[in-house]
Amino acid sequence: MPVTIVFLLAMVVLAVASIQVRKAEIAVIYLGIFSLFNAIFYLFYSAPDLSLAEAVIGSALATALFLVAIKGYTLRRTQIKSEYRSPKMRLALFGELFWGVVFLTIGFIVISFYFGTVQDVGKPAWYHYVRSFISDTGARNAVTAIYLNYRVFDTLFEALLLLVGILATAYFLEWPEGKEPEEEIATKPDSEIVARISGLLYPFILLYGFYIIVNGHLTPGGGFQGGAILASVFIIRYFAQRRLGINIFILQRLEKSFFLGIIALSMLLLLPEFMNSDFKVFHLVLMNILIGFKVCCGLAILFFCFIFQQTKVEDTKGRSERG
Amino acid sequence: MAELVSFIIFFLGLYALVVKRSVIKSIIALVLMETAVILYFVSGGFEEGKLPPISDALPEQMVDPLPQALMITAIVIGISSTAVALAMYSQLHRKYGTDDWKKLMKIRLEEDA
Repeated sequence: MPVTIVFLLAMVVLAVASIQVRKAEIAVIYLGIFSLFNAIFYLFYSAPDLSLAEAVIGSALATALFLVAIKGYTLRRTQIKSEYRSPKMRLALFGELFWGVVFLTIGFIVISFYFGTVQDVGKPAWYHYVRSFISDTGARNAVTAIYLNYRVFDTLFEALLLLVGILATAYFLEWPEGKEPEEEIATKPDSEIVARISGLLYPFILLYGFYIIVNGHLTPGGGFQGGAILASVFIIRYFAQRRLGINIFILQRLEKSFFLGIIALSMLLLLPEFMNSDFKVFHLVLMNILIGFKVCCGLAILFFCFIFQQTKVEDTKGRSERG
Repeated sequence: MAELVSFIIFFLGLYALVVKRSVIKSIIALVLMETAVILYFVSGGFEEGKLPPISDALPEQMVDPLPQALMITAIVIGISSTAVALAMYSQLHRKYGTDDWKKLMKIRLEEDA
């Protein structure tokens, strides 16, 4: 299909651009556009669930995290120019070109090996899943059927890894114990218009997020995507009104208890006599809701950790300039 | 075609990871490599003309749902690993005031000596 080829070429161009651009903010924006093209490409490849996940998480949330994390840290244009003009730097750039050629050569050697050794073994798992997922699990979406029923261990460990990632982020950013950061962060919003309009938008975004979560077993979507949409409400709220409006410690406790709930609920799959056909669908919806809330809490905590870190940095900078 | 492009993006990421001197470029390279792996899995489960694995299609028309289900978890894990990397970068920059690997190495060596 020619459309997919256009998207693939655009992805390669954007990847090169995000690597080669010197200013970090512009590179991050290119990376976000790359993720968006990637999400559209998944639609052509019949993967609507992945497309939704990549658009919400990879394109929107990751870009927001990057931009908040590098805010105030990047070089000025004149600094970059003076650094890149020196002859030492020219030599380094030549070295980069050399290594680029080397890596592309290695890449093509690997590709030629790969296409020489690929072997078709048939698709026994595909055959089983697409034939029996409706009668086995009660879901109408095979992807949800797999990650909430056939391979629920994957989902459990994924949720655990997300929790560990959030704990590690909070550890590295030195979240102060038992301190309420609400007052320190609150500043005036940038724009009155944005603040008012986003107030109108919250209910619709919340409704869309809940729709995605609750209908995860029938349509594309599910707990991960819907949870990320719910988390984006917190982020929009921060950018519009410049206040958190929620206690981060409650959010952390909530996330851990949702994780416990997910583990307890998935244990029910071990009792086959309990899982009649009505309860199966109810179980899927309940699991999706728990996963959605857990992912929402987790991503909101990640974002607020970075926001708090940035305000701390600006605070110390302002103090040193004044003093 | 998509498999080939995923290989190219993966090696672009590897190139940037080895060559670029900026820490933030290394994190971007990690994200690119991860996206390439996900793209490879999705294109491996696809055949021309197959429909999404949702109830209205006949079972023979559906694409393989297994790689898609695995890759959704990979995307969510990807953002948490990116966040950990960014948190480390943030602390590094606050402590040493630069995001150049070579300068950082020099400062760390002077500190040790």
